[in-house]
Amino acid sequence: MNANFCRDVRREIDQSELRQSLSAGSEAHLVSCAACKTFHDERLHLRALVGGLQPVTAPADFEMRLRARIARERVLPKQPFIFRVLMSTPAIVVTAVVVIVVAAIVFFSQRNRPQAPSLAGTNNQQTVQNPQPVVAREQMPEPTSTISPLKQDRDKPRQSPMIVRNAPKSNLPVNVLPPATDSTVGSAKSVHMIDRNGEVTLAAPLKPMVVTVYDEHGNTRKIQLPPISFGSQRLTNNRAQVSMTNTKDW
Amino acid sequence: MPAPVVVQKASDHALLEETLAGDEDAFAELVSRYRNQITSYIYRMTNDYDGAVDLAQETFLRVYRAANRYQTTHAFSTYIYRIATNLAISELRKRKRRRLVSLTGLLSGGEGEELRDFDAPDERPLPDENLVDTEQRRVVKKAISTLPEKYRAPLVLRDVEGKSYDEIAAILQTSEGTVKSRINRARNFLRDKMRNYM
Repeated sequence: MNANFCRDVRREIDQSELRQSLSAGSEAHLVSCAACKTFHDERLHLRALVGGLQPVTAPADFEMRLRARIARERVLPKQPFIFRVLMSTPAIVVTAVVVIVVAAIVFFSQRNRPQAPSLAGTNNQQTVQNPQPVVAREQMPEPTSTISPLKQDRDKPRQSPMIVRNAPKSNLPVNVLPPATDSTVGSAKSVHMIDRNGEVTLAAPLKPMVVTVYDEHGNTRKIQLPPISFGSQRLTNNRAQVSMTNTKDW
Repeated sequence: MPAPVVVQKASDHALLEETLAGDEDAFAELVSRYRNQITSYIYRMTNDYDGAVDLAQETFLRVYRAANRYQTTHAFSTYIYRIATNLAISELRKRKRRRLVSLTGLLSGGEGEELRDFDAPDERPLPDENLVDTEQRRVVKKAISTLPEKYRAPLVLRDVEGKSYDEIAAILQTSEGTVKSRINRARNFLRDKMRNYM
């Protein structure tokens, strides 16, 4: 039997309508070919089984429920287009990817940046490399002795409000201020008062500094400090008399 | 003697145009024409009656929403069956995903394996003819529900709904040759699964 003809007949069987008769050639072939006859019977039975499934019907309240759904959709305000775009899944995914990429870039840029040497480490090295004699360090002036404590007090949480008035402004230009150093670890830089080419003069204030202090009870204290010259002058020995407006001991 | 009144049935296109013009009764007529067909079709696809009713309603809702975008190049029945098919296939994929994340889904494998593992639960002949018919129907339903979705939709449209090949091709948006090939493969799958009942 020709296999190609069998295939053609089976294709015709498969594609025919359920109650449609086959062509004369195919009918004649089915008489002589048992395999194709079996295929034909199987297919008819299978299609009858599948086609014999009882159709289901929609429930009686189908239309009512559909009307309710349509009415509910009309009542609910439609969200604006931009909101639907922003809240869509692709938009959320894109945002998440962008955040991850930016975080990764920041992380790697921070990781690859050369680390600045720490102050403590630098100062320790300086101490080892340039040991200063103790006597020499005592003679060196402390240029931030009058300003730094006040500044530090400002940063700390205050227990009693203190206001400083009439403090003479420093004559130092801002851009030539020495960089802050940790005075507890390393020695302060020496300041020269001699005018030379290329050097900056650090002049002492001309007027005496008056510090007004208010405590938490509203009492006022004024402290007058003479001009300070950096160098050999000692602050405690030349201190001017303190004027006090209350009876409390200072 | 008064002449008999001939009530001409409005076409689906005309009903949809009237729906678009705001005629709620025209849409109700469309719903009454197709609600059973669509519910039955989705039920054969999903094998879940409540879900099928819900998806049939969603189908009509989409028709109502997109009435202004409907193009008359295809028959309305093709259009509504296409929507129903897409919804049914989406539902089947959702189920597959849910099954994948469940422990049983992880152990049971995919749809191909499900086809291989499918066995009729009881092969003994039943004494009562009604019971045989009931059992046969149950097995046929079960066998259809184990078909991969790309074979299930053309088989149901052809052998259950009685659609023509070109209509099925239009619904599934594929070629007639593909439809015929898929139907042939689907029947072969079914024949293998129901060999004891053939």
